Amino acid sequence: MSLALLVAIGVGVLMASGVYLLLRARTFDMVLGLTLISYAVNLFIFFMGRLAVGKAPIIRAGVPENLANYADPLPQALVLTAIVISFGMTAVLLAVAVRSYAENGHDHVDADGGPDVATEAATDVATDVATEFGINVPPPTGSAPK
Amino acid sequence: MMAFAIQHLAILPVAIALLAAALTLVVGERRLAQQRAIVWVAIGLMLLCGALAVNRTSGGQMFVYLMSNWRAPFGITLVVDKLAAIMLLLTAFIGAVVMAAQTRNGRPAGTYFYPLFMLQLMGLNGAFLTADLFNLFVFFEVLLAASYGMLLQHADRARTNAATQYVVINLLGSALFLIAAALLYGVTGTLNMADLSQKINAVGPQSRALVAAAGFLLLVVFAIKAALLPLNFWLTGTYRAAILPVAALFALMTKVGVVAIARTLTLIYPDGGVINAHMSQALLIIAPLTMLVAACGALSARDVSTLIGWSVVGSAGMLVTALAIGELKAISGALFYLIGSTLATALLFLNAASLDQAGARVAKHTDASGRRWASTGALFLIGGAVMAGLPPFSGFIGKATILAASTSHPAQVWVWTAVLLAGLLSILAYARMGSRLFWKRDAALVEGASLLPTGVLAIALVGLTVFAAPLQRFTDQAAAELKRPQIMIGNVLGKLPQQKLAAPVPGAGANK
Repeated sequence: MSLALLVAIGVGVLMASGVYLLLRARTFDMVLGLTLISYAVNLFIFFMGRLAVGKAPIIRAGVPENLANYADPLPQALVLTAIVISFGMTAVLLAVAVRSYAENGHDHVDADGGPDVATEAATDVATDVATEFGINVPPPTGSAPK
Repeated sequence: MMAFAIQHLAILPVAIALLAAALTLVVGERRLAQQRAIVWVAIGLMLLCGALAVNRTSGGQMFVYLMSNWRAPFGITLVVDKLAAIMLLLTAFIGAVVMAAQTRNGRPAGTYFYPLFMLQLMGLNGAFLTADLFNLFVFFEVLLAASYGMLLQHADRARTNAATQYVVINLLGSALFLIAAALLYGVTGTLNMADLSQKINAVGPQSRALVAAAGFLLLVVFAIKAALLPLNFWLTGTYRAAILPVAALFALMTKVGVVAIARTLTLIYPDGGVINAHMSQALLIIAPLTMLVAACGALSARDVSTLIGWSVVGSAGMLVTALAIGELKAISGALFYLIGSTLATALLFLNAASLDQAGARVAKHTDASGRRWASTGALFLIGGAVMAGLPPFSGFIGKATILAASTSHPAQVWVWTAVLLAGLLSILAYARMGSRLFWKRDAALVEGASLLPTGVLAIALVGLTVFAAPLQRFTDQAAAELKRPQIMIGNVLGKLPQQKLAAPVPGAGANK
């Protein structure tokens, strides 16, 4: 019971942090937020195969083949797929986020919204990443072209 | 050859598209002619598969395909039923039209256009074919990943901003999808839709709430895809930002959500259950509201792409309203309306591609340009008439069928009010946009835009009206099949794996 509670709290905290970051509507925060959400989701899928301690999903001779003796292998396969997909999608999102920063000069998602919220730290990170990818970043003027 | 095609009918549309995507990548961006030839061959084969699927399923057959020969529910199952057959043919047709329209000055519409295009078709075909919830998630991701690439063609500031929002909302949708699928697996121990349908019925009272929550999460995910009311705000911006051939292809994207909602309401949570009743109630509030809001949005649109985008939202609302009503005739009408509205959306987007709204150039008043103005305007009229549901076009037939089917439904007044009011507002919106574009000539014609693809679409739309009776017979059958999930369940779970091939006799066949 305590293990289940711990697991549930862990998934919940990850999900809540992810949602909070997502709602900040800044590309860098959103990348982090979606990453946290995908961690939460991956753990959730994994645990839906029931919590099993010290059991492998590999059949041994003479042991009855049921979930009391083995871990459920299917959620493990599912979570592997989900991890790969969320990894790829995060990479796409990063590329789009960098591009969006290069186009707008700030990292707010609602591009016509307030550029004033772009903090220096986020701007520096985005500039570094953009330079790394060879994208020409306009000097941070602090305001988006209207 | 024919036997092979029929045996593997369910996997061919996916496999062909994947193979073509790989081949176009191997051939490379520099050899355009070869790339184009590969894509045309692939689309031709997909059209054949779609036609074969429609032909065979209309005889009452259902094709169940066990991937890697694993018996359902243990492996992934693909199913060609009548709904999937319609969607396969429609996808291949839209693909062919977009393919014919996407070249300008002999160049494709963007970088890596053909591989992305093929992967998009692969994802669409797969999403229509699969009978496995997790596999549906995977195909969603395939088509979304391709659509991200398509949307970012010629990325400028507006496109990048639209793409950011589009990617984020879809990633969030994928996360919710996974939660729903995991919940269902945790409770029932299966992901096969046919098996789920049975297991959900047998779920004990302590897990009912979990199963209901998973179902509604699925609906939320599919509502994002179909752009139902509170989740539709990504659509207009995305469609306006996409280059127009891509927007025409996106005409199919909301329909994926609608088909997934159809599977949810008819197969996973079939009619007669408590959860189905709650879902239908919720959708009957949301979907007509979506129509009304979309009509208001269309009325406020200042450019063609936004107008068409709102019409897409409205047609999704119409389709989901019909699915929520759940009568056989309503579902049949929805399928009919789905075909027409998809073709009309593609027509409108491709037609808009031959208009240059940004350029304030004055069109030359020559005879030739006058004829082109007239034909472009006529195509706009046809598309708008279908979307608004004016007779004699297929939009009207679909809407009339759905309205007639809702007469005995308790929500009749609400549905009729929403459908008719939204129809009136759409007519106003299209009339205003049409008079602005074609009488006041607020736009210029793009040089050298071909009328062939839009012409083909217009002929197809007229054909939908002319051949409405046989088509409606088919959609009636398809709806009857959806209304009786036992057929699908029996076919999927009863399908036996192929016998293993006999072991080769030693010695025989050793010599070539």
